[in-house]
Amino acid sequence: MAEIAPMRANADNGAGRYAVSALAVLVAFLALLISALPASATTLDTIRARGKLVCGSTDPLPGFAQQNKDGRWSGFDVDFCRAVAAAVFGDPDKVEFRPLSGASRFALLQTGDVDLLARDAAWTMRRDSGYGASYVGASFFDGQGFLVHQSLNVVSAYELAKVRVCVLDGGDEVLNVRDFFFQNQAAYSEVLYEDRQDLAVAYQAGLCDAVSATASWLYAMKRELPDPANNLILPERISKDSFGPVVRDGDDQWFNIVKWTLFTLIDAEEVGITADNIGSLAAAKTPAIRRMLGLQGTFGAAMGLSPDFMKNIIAAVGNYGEIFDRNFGTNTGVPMLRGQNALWTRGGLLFAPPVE
Amino acid sequence: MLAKSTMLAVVLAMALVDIAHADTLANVKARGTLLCGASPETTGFSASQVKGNWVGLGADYCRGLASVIFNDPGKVQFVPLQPGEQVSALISGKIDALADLIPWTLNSDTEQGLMFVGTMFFDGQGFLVTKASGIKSVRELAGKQVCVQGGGAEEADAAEYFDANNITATLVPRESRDAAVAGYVDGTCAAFSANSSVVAGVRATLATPADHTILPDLITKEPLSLAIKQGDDRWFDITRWTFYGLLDAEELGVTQGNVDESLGSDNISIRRLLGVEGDFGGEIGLNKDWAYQLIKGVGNYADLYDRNVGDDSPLKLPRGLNALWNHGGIQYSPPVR
Repeated sequence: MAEIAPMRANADNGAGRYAVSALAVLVAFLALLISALPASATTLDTIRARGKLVCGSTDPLPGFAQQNKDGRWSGFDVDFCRAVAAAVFGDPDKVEFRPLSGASRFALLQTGDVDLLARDAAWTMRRDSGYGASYVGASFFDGQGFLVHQSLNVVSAYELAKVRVCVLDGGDEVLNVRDFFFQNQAAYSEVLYEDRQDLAVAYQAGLCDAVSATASWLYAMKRELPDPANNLILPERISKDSFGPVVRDGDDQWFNIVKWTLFTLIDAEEVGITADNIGSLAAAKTPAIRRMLGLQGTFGAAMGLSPDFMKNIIAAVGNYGEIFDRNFGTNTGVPMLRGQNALWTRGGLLFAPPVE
Repeated sequence: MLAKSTMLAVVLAMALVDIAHADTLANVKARGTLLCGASPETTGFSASQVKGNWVGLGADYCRGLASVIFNDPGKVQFVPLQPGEQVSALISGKIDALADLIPWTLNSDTEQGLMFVGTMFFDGQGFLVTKASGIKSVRELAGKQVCVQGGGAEEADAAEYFDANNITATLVPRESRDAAVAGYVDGTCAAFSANSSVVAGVRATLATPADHTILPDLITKEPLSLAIKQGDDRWFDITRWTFYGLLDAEELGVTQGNVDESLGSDNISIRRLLGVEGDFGGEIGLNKDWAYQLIKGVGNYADLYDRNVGDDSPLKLPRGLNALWNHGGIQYSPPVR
C-alpha cells in the first residue's frame, strides 16, 4: 500500500511545474481568474443568486409540457421542474421554462443557460457519457409502439399484417419496425418521413394505417387528434427507452439535489404522502413518513437544502402518482396506463432508495 | 514574446486547475492495477475470501472493471478493509472502487462524499420458514412466533410491518443474530427474519438447507449498491456503464460462454455493445470493445448472480426483484447506443 498515493503524486508534480515557471505571478493571476469564472460557483449558489431555476423542458408536447392561453406552463416535465424549484426555494413558481429543440439542448446545459433538462432525449450511453452531462435516474419508462385507428380492428401489434406503417426515416425506429415484422413474418409497407410532425399529418390523411414511434410521443399525438377515442395505442413495445432528468457534469451536489427530488416523488407515493394529506400527517407515527416530512432525522443540509425540502416538494406538486394522474390520467380524456411507470411494489419499475 | 508567455501561462494555469480534478482512470492505468476495497462481509454478496480467492458479486464486479480497463480480469488487487473503513478508504484514494456493496439511502448518498453507481442486489428484510410448515406468505405468520435480532432495525421494521398490516405474529427478540437463528432451529419460532441476503446465508449453514424456504415477501427495501467517491465524472461514467454493460449483455443474451460467437451477430444492439459497430468507449477513456472484454472476463449479470448468490451457489436465492425488467424484476439499464 505504501507505494501508492496517487493524489499526492499529482500535486507534487504540479507544484514543481509551478516553481520552475518564471511567470509565477501571471500564472497565479490566471489561476485566480479561472477559479473566479462562474463555472466554478456551485449550480445551487448560481440559482439562488439568480432567484429562480432555469429548466430546459421539451418542445411543447401534450401531457409533458404545454402552455395555456395565459402563458402558464403545465405538464409532467413542468411539474418536475416545479418540484426542483420547491426543493431549492420552497416555492415551485421560482422557475423559468425554456423549451429546447433537439440539437441545442445539451449545449445550453453545458454553457449554464439552463440548470437541468427535465426529461428530454432517451437515456443512452452516448448522451450519458459523451456530452459533459449525466442522467440522474429514470423518471419515465417508455418504448416504441404502434398507434392505429379502431376501424383496423386489431388489439395487438402481433395482428398487424399487410398494413402501411408511418415511421421516421434514418434512425433506430425504422430498424425496430423492420426487425419486428421480420421476426413475425408479417407483410407490411413503410411510409417514411424525416419529420415527426409529418407522421401525424400523413396518418390523419389516411396515407398509412399505423404510426410507429416512442409511445409517449404517440400518446401526445393521440391527444391532438380530432377523434382520440377512435384511436388506439397497441400494448406491445418493440424497444426500450427511458427518460430522466439530466444535469451537467462537475457538480455532484446539484446531481444529488435533482436525483433526490426524483426519489422524493417516488418514495412519497410508496409511503402514501400526497399533496392532499400532507397537512394532516404531522402526528403520523410511521418513521418513513416522519423522516420525509422532516419530523425525524435531519436530511438535506448536506446538499445545501433545508431539512423540510421533501415536504416542500410534495406540498407543491404531490407525489409521482399524483403528477402522473394530473397529466396523463382520466381527466385528460386520453388516459395512459401506469405500466412500467408504476411503483416496483405494483408491478412497475419505479424504485427509489429509502429516506434513511 | 508576450503572446508566447501568455500562452505558456495559460497552459500552466490549466495544469494547476487540473490538479483539482481527480482522475482515477489515469491513476489506475499508471499503476497497472485496480485497487478494490473489501471488508469481511456476508458470503456471496460483496467479497469474501474462500480458499484464498476473493469471491462475491462485488468481487466479480471489480474483476469486470479491471477487464474493461486492462482487458484482464486479473489486474485487480483486493485491499482488505476494516468494517466502517470503506468511505474513508475511497475518499483518501487508498482504493479506487469497492467490492463491498453499500446500502443506498438518502443519508449514505449525500452525507459522506459517496457517489452511488448502481444497485447490484435489491435486498430487503425477509423470512425463513420450514417447507414443512406450509407457510407461503408473511400474512400466514399470524399466530406464530418470529425470531429476530433484538434492538435494531430488523425488530423495529418487523413490528411496524405486522402492526400496519394487522398481522398478529409475536416477535421474539434475541440478543444476537446467532441466538435468533438458534430459536428458529430449536423450534421456538416458526420463522427467522433478517435481510434476505443474511437469511440465505443462514439457510446454507443449516443441516438440510433444502428443507427451508425464504418467503417471497420483502418488508423493507435495501438496495445493496456500488459506490465510488464524488468528484470524478469520468470514473462515474466508467463504473456506471460497466454495471449497465452486465445488464445489457444479459438482456441481449450475450454470455461469457457465447461472447466470441456473438461478435458475428447481426443484431445491431449486440454489435454496438461489443464494439463491432460504433465506438462507445472512447469518450470515457476506454477501448471500443470494453463490453466484450467485460463479458469475456466475468460474464453478464446473470452469470455473476448464478455463480455467487443464485442456483450455482450455496445460497440458491431466486432472482426475484433482481430479475431483468422484462422478466418480472426491476433490473434495468439504458442501452449502449
